[in-house]
Amino acid sequence: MDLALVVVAPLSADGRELEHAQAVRQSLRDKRIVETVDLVSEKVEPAMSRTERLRYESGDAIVDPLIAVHADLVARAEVIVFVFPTRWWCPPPEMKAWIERTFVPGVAFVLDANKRVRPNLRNLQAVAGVTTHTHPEVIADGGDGARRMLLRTLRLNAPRRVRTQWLLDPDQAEIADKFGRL
Amino acid sequence: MNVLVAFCHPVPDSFGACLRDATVASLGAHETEVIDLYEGRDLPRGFTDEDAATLAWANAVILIYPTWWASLPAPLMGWVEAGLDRDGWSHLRRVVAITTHGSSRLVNVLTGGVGRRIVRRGLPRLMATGAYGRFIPLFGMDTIDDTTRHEFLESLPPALTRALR
Repeated sequence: MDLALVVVAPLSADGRELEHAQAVRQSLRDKRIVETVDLVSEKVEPAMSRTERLRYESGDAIVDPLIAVHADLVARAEVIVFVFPTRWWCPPPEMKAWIERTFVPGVAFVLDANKRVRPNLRNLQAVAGVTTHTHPEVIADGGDGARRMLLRTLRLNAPRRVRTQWLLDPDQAEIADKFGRL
Repeated sequence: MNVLVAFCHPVPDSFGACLRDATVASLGAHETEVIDLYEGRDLPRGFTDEDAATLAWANAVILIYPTWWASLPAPLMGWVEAGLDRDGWSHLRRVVAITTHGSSRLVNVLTGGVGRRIVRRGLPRLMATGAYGRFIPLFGMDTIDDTTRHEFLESLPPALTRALR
């Protein structure tokens, strides 16, 4: 069965992200094996280290064994769903740091002989975001950074026909509807 | 102006550090404070009480960072957000970003210029009336030659003079 990866940053006081992640998992479970990365309970290091940056272009960019496990899931996933609160414009720094440390050369993309980026997430068929925001007008002012980052920049590393899905402050029924059809 | 320079790069002798040094050297007419987010802070939200005081003193903030995945690195985004959460930006008159991109200008236009939008639109609307942001990017960091990098460093003093007018 295909693999779906749910990456959750449960940082809201009311734990909404965990409810959303659970609803996403339930909707995807019929057709896929679902794995979860919880950036808080797994105590993922929240910043790229000096060693990681120095090794970034070496083809051996992953230093942290936990990130190696996550990178393997990312490479195999056919669906990746990011679940997080948007505080201002971007995913929370915990999630941004995880992307910076996991979507590295050799995993998300490769650099060709001219140092040009070539996509490497060959299995990926859908990228999705489920987010919450207390002030949507603030997102608009900043140009909806999280959505652009995940559905445009990140998806450049997937095959051209990758599907995308974006839900802002959804209820359970909306999650079931949209993800049930993925 | 009182200028707070927030520098974010994990490697102390990176090109980013050259950008920081060139920036500080060209701010002679202004009072300047520099903070390094990778220097003894609790990441990714390394915003201290001392930072709150420095931010209150400042009229302008200059962010110097490598653009990763279209936007600010996690420690710098965490620092900016923590400052906004404490309402520490509402008196500021200028925000300037000096940033390197591995990708080309074209890729950044196509993917929506997330960092540029945050600096040009998102942040100024949370700052003082009439405040504005300036975005000073260097694209194609990995494919350009040293001459182009030097030209970028030399372009900083006049660009900063205009930005902090």
